[in-house]
Amino acid sequence: MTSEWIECVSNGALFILIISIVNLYWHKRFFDKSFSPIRWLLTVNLLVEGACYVCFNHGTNNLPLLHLFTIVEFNLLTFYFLQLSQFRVKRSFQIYIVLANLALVFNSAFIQSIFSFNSFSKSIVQLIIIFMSLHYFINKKKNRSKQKDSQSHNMIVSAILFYYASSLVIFMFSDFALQAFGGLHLGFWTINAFLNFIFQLLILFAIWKRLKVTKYSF
Amino acid sequence: MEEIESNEIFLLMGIGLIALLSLAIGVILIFFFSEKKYLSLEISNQKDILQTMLETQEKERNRLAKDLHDSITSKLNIVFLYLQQLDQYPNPQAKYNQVIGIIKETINNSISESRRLAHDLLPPTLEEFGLLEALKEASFALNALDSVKVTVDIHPQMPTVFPKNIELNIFRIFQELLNNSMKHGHAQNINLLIEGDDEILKMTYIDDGRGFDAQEIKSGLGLKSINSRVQLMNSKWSFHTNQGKGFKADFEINHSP
Repeated sequence: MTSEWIECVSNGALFILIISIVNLYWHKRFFDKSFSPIRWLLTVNLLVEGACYVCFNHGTNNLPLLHLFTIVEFNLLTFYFLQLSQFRVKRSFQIYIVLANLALVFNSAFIQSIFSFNSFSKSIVQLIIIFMSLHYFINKKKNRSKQKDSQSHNMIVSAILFYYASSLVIFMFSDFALQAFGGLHLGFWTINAFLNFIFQLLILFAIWKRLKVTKYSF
Repeated sequence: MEEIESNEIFLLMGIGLIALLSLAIGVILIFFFSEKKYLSLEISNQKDILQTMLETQEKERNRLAKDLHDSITSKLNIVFLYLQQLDQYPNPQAKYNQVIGIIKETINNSISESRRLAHDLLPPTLEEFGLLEALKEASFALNALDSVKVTVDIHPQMPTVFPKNIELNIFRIFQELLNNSMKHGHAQNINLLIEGDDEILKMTYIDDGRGFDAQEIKSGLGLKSINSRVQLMNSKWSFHTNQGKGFKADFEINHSP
């Protein structure tokens, strides 16, 4: 019953993801460049989902894709938050990004094999993204008068905070649970599937909100 | 034994997950509620600013209509009456020079009046030489009256060029303050201090007039108009006054583009 639930919710999330991507490309002119990292993230997400499906059908280990996705996810979301905060990238921050990428590659190469779960990288990336989301909200409250037209970005950041904060525990302990008990309780993956479904729904809502403001309000 | 341990760990994970989920939802809800509250305040504020702007505009139109009626229109009427008189004289040549003299003087006065009106609406100095010169000129014009002494102190190292809308708003604020100080406060000394950098212009206005009860006058149109202009410039201001204790206003005007 639980695995059926997971399949059903995952398919629902995939369907919403496709609708979001179609909207982002079809109405590209209504989304300014601050939406580009999200468009790329969703596209890569869909490609990884497709590749995972192919790997699953061929009985191949699909965990290397998760390693790759974690790096792409980190870079795109960092770029997204940098754009939102209109922060001029200082040299120290550029070094931080390069070092973080090297650490992610180092983890995949020497600590957690690409054929195992990259719980360290995933947890650290999630923590950084949670921190950036919180920073966005705090910064937004401080500089309200300077920021305009950001309702859909608020929704996207809420979706990110919601999903990354709540799924942090699952990814943090997944490797440990895999080694200690042979895997996570199926209930956690069901919850993760639900969280991902809500995340995709919120992103779609943000896209719709943006289209409503730009396309239909002349 | 291992089953119990795994259940305990999964229970802890579940608690952790729920805690983080609640925390995330909490942050999001707090942000959205405060955003909603801020937006409704902003809308009511915008309405207030618009209302004040409309009232100020109406007041300005009334003043202009009254000035036109009392000065230029009445003088043109005089010119018209004298020209009619010329027709009525059996021998117009006898009175001609006298009437022409009066007409010339009246037209001359009308020109001065219309120039004054235009100057009041938009001082040419503000357009041509910028805010700081316009403020100085306004103070010179008042000092010539001898009933009040206005000093304008400008920090030598501050920028001299500001966006046009900022210049006009600051000038109108200064005019409104001067008007209040003389008309209501009967001030004898007025001082304007201006300093600042590339982002913020700090302006302090002080008079030694009668002052007023801030609670009573807070909703007066003059102060509301100043408030609207300050808000339009995305800046802030505060004032301190009391009966018999003069008036002081501090402005921090954001002029970065």
